Amino acid sequence: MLILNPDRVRFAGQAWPVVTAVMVDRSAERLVESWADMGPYAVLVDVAEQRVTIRVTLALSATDLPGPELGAQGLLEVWTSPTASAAQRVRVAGQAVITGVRHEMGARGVAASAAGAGMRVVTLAAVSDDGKLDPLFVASAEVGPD
Amino acid sequence: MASSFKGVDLFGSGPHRFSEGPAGQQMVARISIGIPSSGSITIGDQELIVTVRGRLVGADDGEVWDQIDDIKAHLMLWNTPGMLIDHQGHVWSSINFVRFEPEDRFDRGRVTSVGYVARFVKLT
Repeated sequence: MLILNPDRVRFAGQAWPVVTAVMVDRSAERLVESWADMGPYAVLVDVAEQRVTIRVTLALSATDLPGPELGAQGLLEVWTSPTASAAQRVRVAGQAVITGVRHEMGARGVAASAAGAGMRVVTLAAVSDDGKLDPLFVASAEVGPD
Repeated sequence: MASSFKGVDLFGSGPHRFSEGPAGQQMVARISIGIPSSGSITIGDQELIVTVRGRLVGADDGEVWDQIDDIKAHLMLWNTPGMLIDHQGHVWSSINFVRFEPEDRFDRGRVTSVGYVARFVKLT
């Protein structure tokens, strides 16, 4: 999942300003692959454990000292819509834990083109309520606060 | 074709593979049987061991446990020799089902499954 220039991003109730992108990657943490005696090909492939990683890219225009705290858990909420209106707006949300905070200066131009010369990439691990439910859910947000 | 033991498809819910252990003579050190000299002697044919490694698959935990219970019943209640046949029709006759060892966890993805090792021994 890739969300470019989301309308609004909030973590643990706190707004994160000038987010340029939110990326959600899924990978198999434990892959079941089994072969039988009938031939060369796997006959059972299943993902028994998976990891959902979220990367949030923020543009920084000034010195920012504290930054997000590693290990902090909270509800990550991302609102995005194809237009400036609330039409077709959706909210992507889920519990997540901050696992990394990285900064880069704007030589790449991505951050420089947004709101400043610096870029912060916050990496989060999504957390499921019970291990069975997808940790991220997407819902319509056409009705609600702007 | 499906594999079977005593005509029952015990492992058919998921993939499984057969392997046969080494063949030869059973050897023991002379000193271990009270002969005070070096070296070993043979005491007869080595027992034939057939190992089945695979994965039981079900829609949920209950389906997998049902299969494990069935396998345990064969292992413990009716522990008599029978005919083991692999997917290709290879037959091991008069062999005993002696051990079933599931892996340390159920894997729950699209399906529920558990890996296992089952051991059959042709007792001499």
